[in-house]
Amino acid sequence: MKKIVTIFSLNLHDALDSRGRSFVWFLLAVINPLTLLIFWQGAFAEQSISLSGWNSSSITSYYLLLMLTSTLLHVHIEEEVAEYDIKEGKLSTYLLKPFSYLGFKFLTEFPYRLLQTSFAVLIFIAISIFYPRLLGIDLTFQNITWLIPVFMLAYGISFLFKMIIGLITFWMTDYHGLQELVFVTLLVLAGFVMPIEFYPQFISKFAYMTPFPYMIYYPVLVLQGKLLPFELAKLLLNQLLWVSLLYLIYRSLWVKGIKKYTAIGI
Amino acid sequence: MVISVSHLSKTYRVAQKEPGFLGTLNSFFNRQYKEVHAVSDVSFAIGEGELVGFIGPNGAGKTTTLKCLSGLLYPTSGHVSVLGFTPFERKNTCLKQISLVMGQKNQLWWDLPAEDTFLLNKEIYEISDEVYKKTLHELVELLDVADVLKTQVRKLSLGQRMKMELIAALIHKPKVLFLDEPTIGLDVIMQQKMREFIREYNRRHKSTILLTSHYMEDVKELCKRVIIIDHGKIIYDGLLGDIVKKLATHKKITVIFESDVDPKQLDAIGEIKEYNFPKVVISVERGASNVAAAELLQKFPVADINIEEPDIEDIIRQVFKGKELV
Repeated sequence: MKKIVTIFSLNLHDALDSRGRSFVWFLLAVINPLTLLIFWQGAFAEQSISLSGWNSSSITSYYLLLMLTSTLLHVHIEEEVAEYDIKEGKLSTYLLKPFSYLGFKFLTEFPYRLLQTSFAVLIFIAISIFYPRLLGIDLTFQNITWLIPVFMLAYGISFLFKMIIGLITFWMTDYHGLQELVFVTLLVLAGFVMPIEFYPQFISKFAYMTPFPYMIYYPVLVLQGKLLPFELAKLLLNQLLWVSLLYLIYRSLWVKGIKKYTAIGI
Repeated sequence: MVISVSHLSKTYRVAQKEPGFLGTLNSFFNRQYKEVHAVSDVSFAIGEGELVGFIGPNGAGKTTTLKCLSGLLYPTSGHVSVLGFTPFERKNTCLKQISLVMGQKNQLWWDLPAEDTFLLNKEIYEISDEVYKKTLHELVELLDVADVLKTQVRKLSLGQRMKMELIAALIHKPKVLFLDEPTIGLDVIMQQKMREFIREYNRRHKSTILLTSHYMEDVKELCKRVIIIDHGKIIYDGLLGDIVKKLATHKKITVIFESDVDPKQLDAIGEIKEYNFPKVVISVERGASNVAAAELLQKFPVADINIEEPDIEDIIRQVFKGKELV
């Protein structure tokens, strides 16, 4: 336990040291939802319509909460794994230590996510003071008890998925194309562009068969209090299945990939 | 045996491409690969407390062997055992007893003082407070770095950083230490300090050390035994002194003349290696060196004369050029 705390605190120390860089990344994460929020505000204001049960107020709350949720749950460990660890050989440093690589990476990324979330939380506190109705968060005790495991599993899915993307560099010399592909796929299928319900049925059906909605989209819906208890139970079960499946894929890629590792650069 | 390597081979598959657009097009549809045998059928064993030099030219397979020994690379074939463990399995019990230090590569946290990395390693290697304090004190004293322990790593000089790397790698008191070019890039004074530290560490802790270096001075000063590898194959494994005896068939006589002499007259004494008046270097057969020196003193205006063994670099170069050792 002590070693976990030490690794975590050193990474937190490092994250705080580079808080300026972290804040710029936070702003990038905020711009996308804000731009889309402005677009949808315009669309709903023109027609005063309700689309798939969404209205102007719930769509505003959706994008604001998407901003908060994605700063915590949208993990960005893949580039570090691919570029620095595998391609440049920093992985060797981790392999020589009696501590799991997955654990190291988890404890590297999590402090950065917390720092980014703390920026978002500050903005939310300001919004909740001046425009409390904009947020639309369901903070009942019952909802909070669901929120915690949903967020933990969502983080697990996001983290394992990005670790898998990073590990693919064992087989690919250029990882940037894959990175772009994953980015666009996530934008569409994780709910960054719009609520998945807005898509044509064949796209939304496809999205629900992937792990992406379980990373960001569903946690936002849970924050909004949009899911019924049986839907929440089903959500948790699906998230558990995705975490298990992604972990198995990660393990299998790790075992095979590490045999191909050339430890270049170190 | 602490380290045992049996018929170790490591082959890399490397993509090949002809230059130009046609080459790229051809490679896109029909990529060709070449197999590079970095290490072929290598076998050796090292006992407890030995300090062995592992030498060879660039690309000989030294670092690949070290990476296989420390568990970073998966061997293509053969068997490797370190302290009874298969390194590639990377069992925690094994990792806690070995260490790999590679010159100019760092495990230290760049933006934090080196002491933070030591503390991290303390927790990762599960070292008790008491042992940690004692070991750190000993290493800091041996390497003389007490004044920079709290300085950000990025602000340290190369030599100071290398010393900190060594502390980070030794804080868990490994029984087996792999040192890959530990003195690379350091100035001569720092190289000497590093050598003194490695010798002292080996003496105090009876640790088994396998050292690669391009500086023959490192090997000459530290290692009685050397393993020479070239093109992925071991070409010599034995005492350094034995190679010198076997290959140093000539000695080097350096003469400083008081006045200019005709080089042709010196041909009768031996092979002139260097003629740069007043200094002349002559190579003579080992058995005839005393006679040659006497002749020089009698027949020429000699101000100073010195008889030496040839440089270890020259001897090793002969080995790489294919001179038979067996």
